[in-house]
Amino acid sequence: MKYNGILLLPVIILLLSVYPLFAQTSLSIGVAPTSKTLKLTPGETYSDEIVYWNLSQEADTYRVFISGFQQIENQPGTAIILTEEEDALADYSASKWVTVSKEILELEPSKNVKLQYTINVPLDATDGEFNVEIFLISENAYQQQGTAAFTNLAAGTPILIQIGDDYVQNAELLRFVADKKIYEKINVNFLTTIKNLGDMHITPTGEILVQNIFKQEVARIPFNKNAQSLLRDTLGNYEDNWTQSGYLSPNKAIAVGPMTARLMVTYRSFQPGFAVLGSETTFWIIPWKIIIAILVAILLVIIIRITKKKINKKNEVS
Amino acid sequence: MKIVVPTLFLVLSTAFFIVFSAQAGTLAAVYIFMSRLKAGLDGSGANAVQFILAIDTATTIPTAGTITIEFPDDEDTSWCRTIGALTVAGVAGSAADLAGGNWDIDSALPTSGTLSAACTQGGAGTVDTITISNVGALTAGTTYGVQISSATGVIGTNGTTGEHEVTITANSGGTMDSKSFKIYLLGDDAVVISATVSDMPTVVCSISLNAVNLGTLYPGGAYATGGHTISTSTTSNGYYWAVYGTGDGSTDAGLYKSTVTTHLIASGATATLDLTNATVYGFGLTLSDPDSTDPATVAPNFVNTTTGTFGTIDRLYSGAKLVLSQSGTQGSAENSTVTYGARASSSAPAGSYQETVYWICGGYY
Repeated sequence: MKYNGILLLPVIILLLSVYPLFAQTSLSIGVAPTSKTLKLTPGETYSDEIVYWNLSQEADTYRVFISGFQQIENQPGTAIILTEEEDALADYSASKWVTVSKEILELEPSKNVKLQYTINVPLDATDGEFNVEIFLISENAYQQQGTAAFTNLAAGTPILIQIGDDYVQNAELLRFVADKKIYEKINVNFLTTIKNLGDMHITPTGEILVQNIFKQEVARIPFNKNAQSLLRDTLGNYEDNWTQSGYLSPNKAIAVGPMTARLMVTYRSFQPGFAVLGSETTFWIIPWKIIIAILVAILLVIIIRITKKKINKKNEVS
Repeated sequence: MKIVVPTLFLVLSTAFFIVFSAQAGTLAAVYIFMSRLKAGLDGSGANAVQFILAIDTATTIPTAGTITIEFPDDEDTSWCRTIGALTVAGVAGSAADLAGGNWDIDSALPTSGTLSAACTQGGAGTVDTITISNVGALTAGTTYGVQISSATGVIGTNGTTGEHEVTITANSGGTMDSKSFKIYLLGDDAVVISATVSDMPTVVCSISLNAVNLGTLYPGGAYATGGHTISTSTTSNGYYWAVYGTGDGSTDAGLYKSTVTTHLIASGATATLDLTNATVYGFGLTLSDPDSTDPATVAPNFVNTTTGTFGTIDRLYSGAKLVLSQSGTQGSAENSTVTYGARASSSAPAGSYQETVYWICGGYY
């Protein structure tokens, strides 16, 4: 009994430790602009503002962070700030160039708040692209007890700063595949990985041409239609979907059997045709349910015919 | 009559053989490297088009010859936008060279006098043609390079995307090599890097609750859940949400008891946690798809389709995981329901366990 009591005690304490004392509020933040691209020169000073607003019913407090940023999980077009240690070691961080008018922002409900910022480009800044994000994280004023998950909201404005005109745009196509080898229905995800080898961000654009076994065009899918950018010195995974309800393309080409997809991507801002990334992948579209249904139907017709013939023969004999 | 007819026959036959004594072969290698691949470029200003032609003949073509680039008959005046002289110069290499074969420019196109080029427009029975004149002797097995750009004559591209057949011919004194192949034009081939923001894209992100009660956790008992919603609207190219936790501040994200005896109900190293499994403990979360007909996508590890299975999170900015994203704009705010799930092991000491989860929201740049 004593042993049971020892076991029961933590259960009771854990149970009792859950106090329903949660002063819950909502969090909201609007940001404009969502990103910015600038071209500056060494020694130049640039000033501008970012506007924030709060659509919740309560005022929220946000702390301002300034740091270089990186993509989230190789996803082009996303940004998250670096830790202080990472930022200190980041070669392309412009965080030391930026100052802001406030370090804490009080966002009143339905009110625009402007944050002024200034970028002072050092005289010894080298050519290429540098990045910085002005990032706000909510300061949660929860004072609860008990087992709980607390949430903080964060949003930022990534800024890409091009210094000088002497830059390199170079990229490598590392992967272009369909996510499966065989599809029953046309819902194909093309997975592309591109590595940015230059010293500027790139925004790859292009097309994926899908052809059937007769080399007929069955689909033409825009690549990276959201114009998601890839930071310098990073990898980016792009996903482009081809969905079609039937197996006939608008130009009446049949989309069944072995298919070939050809990717053509350009990424340079100047004479992009001189730097094309291209690759090819193959996959199958086999509407096996329809095929089985047709085969069963054919089989039934054959069986019915044979049966009829046998009955007729029997009738003739009798 | 007996003399005239056979003589005439003999002369005509000889003439026939003379005419067809020209050597016509296929080019050993040829490519056109275009500065722009966009369909419908008019060749002016920022729409200027340049060609680099690499050519390796199968037979040696004598000096003082020509090289022509002919475009499809039904695309007249689209490739040669303006008739006239073009700028032409031999080039000793290009970025499209494939080292180690004859698809690699060996030397600049030789000249006999001054190299010149012109573009002419097609009409009835003729085609848009770029002609390079005063070409020096072309040795078989050597790949020559030449770059052509607009001058008085203006080069453009046809308005239709897809494949277009071109014919390249090297000709001199009746010795002729040619080859036809297709070039591919795109709907768009460039994204302009702008120095200023042309419009003001916005993103609005909201979380319905800043504190979520996870109910009662029993050591070794069933998992508990709690949740809130997140909502987003944007005029940007799309939006994304990422998430990271705090945990014990050093090892992992998860529910942490900071008072003595400290304990972490860790989110764990696996991508997902099946908290219906009696041997699995931890902390994770799921999201609902904001709209099944919409392009919004929940990351595979965080979908809420399997009851009791939750995606795990990591610590710090560098541990941020993308959980929800959407391609394209979102005019009105759309919601996703976030559900946190946690299960304590039988060794978890009693007390208050808490985790601070950071939700990062942004618009694609």
